[in-house]
Amino acid sequence: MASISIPVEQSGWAGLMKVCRPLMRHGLLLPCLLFMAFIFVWPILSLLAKGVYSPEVRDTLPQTAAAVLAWDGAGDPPDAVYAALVADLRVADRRVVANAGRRLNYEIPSYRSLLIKTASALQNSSTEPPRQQLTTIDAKWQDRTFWTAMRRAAPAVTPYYILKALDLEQKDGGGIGKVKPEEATFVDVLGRSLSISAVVTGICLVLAFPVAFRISAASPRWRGLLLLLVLLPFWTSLLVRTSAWVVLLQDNGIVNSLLLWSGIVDQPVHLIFNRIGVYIAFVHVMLPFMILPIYSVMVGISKDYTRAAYSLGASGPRTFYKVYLPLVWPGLWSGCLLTYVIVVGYYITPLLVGGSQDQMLSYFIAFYTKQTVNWGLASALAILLTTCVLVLVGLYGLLGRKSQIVVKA
Amino acid sequence: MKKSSLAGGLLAALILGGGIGHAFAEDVTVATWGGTYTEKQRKSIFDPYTAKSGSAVLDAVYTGGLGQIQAMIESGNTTWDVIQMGAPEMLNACAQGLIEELDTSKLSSAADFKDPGITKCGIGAIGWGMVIAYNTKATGDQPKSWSDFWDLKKYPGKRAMKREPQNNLEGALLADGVAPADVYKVLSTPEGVDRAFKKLDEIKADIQWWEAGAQPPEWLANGSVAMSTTFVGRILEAQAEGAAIKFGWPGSLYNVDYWAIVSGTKKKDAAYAFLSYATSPEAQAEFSKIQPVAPVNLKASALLPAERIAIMPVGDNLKEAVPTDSNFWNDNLEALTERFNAWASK
Repeated sequence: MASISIPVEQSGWAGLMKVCRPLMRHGLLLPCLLFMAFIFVWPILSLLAKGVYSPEVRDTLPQTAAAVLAWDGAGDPPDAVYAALVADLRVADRRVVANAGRRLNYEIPSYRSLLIKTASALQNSSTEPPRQQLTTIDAKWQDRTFWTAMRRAAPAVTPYYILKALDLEQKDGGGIGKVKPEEATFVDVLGRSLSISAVVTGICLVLAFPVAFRISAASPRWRGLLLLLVLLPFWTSLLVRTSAWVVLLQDNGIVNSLLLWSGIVDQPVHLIFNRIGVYIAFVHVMLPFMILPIYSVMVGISKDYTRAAYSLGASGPRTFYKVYLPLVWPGLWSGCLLTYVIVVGYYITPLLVGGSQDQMLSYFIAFYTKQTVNWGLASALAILLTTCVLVLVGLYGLLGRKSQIVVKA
Repeated sequence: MKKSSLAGGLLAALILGGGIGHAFAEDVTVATWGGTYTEKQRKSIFDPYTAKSGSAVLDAVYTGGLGQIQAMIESGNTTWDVIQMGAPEMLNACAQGLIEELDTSKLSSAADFKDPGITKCGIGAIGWGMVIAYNTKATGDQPKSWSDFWDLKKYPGKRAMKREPQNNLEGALLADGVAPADVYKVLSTPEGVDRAFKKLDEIKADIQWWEAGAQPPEWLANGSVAMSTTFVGRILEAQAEGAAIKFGWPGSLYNVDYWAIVSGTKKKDAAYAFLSYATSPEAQAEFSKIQPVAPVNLKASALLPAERIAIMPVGDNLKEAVPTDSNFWNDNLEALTERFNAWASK
């Protein structure tokens, strides 16, 4: 990177040019940087922020939030808490009450109905003490778990969603623990996303290596044709390709008919709406992403290296491991990284050909965004996924550097 | 097709508006389920309304959930005026203020609706049944109940169910011997929920989950599942194409979809005018003639021929049906969906 400080002895035109050149050089990046900042970085950051920032309760019920946080959470809630809730609900707008209710409903189902019912039942003129007013409307207000839930939801910055994404929760008595086993979902799903990606990457690697090698070794005319075949799937819509697998793989589809007809099996094999279908469709979709980086490295490797190894007396396998493999290593790495990172965040393929035990994290992100409008949880899951990908890319950087040392050695 | 009818509607609006001499009527944007469903609504409700009132009806596709409406209202740019939505979502949207409380004095047919056909924020658009359908070749003897749905020995083959807790938990309890009248009483207790999931466990390995309404008839027709929960309408369409599929009314789950007005619309009067027409006995009957859903307006059935009534969730067909409890689902949808997702993904 060039320095932009002006050396004192160089002034005038030459000095100005010295300043401007690097500026202009970087300036050309500016449109793209601005575009990325406004269209990509900013929206993503503001969405991810929803995973930790959830001010609904604090904004809607400010006095209650303050009072409930002042309470130590042990024993019966003090009268001040009841008074604050009555005061807050009297002035709050119905729509924002519902917003706070939604946040509270995540803590205890039926909290939203309770809050809305209470807000509309409160009478302005009542002179009864607030605690009595509330408990007359609904006896649930005597239950301290509703107040400890309020206490958890009161701060604007909440760990709730992130914990939830990790199948954890804040316990009633304080502290953090695992959610009930029948509610735990996301850790399993994350593990599944990572392992499906690993398997798909592995299969793709095994299939792609010989193909890439054959293409790179072919005559230029054949090379063009073979590359065309690799690229062909790119020109068909992903949806069409994936749906085609449904037709092929279903119980009475073409594949099963062939298997039955040939007598290999006497009952249809379940190939779709399960893990097998996901692997088949994924490998098909991802193969070009693996072949192309490997091919591009292979095609640049001069045959002289392997010839030299042979002429120095190395055996075939030895030449492969000691000479060829280190040279294609960068291509293998980028192919694997590309495939892995794309698969780990994939949505549509498992949705169409997988069963409910094969859905990956993206399915739940989409589910919470579109269906239940739990954007906080969707964001927290996105944070989880992004963190995983960043860690992987970081590992890739470390290991990739090491592999280059191997090449040099 | 859509474009030309829209242009036609606009033209009709101009001519009528000019001809009768009152001011150019406001158009109204209706969000509904899309596809052939919307096309049939256009034919039976939207176009006749345009012809009568001079106000054009634009349609938008609503895909369920509250995400779209929430985003629209939060951004302060409400482009939908009227929406047709399922019951739990309507109640939820109502509680959150995403849809308006209805002023029944502005709805000319409000008196023809009875609870649960009319609620604070929604007025009944259609009644529909979630039924058990089966491939007649696969099951031979006709399965009649939820217990039969669970009986993998008597009726071998995969089962298809919609990937959501609604209707499935009810079905599980019915299969487990809970009386129809007690389903929600049982489901309201933690033990009842456990019982439903435990019952679902019995057939879990044989369930193929569907998400789009078009999947069950296709799967039933090609034999990849033996039985499926499904909407009646889809089955009738498949039967018309000659598929070997049948369904039964006993144990069906009766649901109502509602019309509602989106909060913050600038065309509230136009929305009420449209809803008054769309909920009239004539409009509901006309729609039911071409789409196998029941009218909710109590006076509409009288306008329908008997053979049409036979294929609708109305009258005698509802005798052994379980009406879904929208209030229950409004309270518990989030928690049970979470539990369901956790259960299904294991």
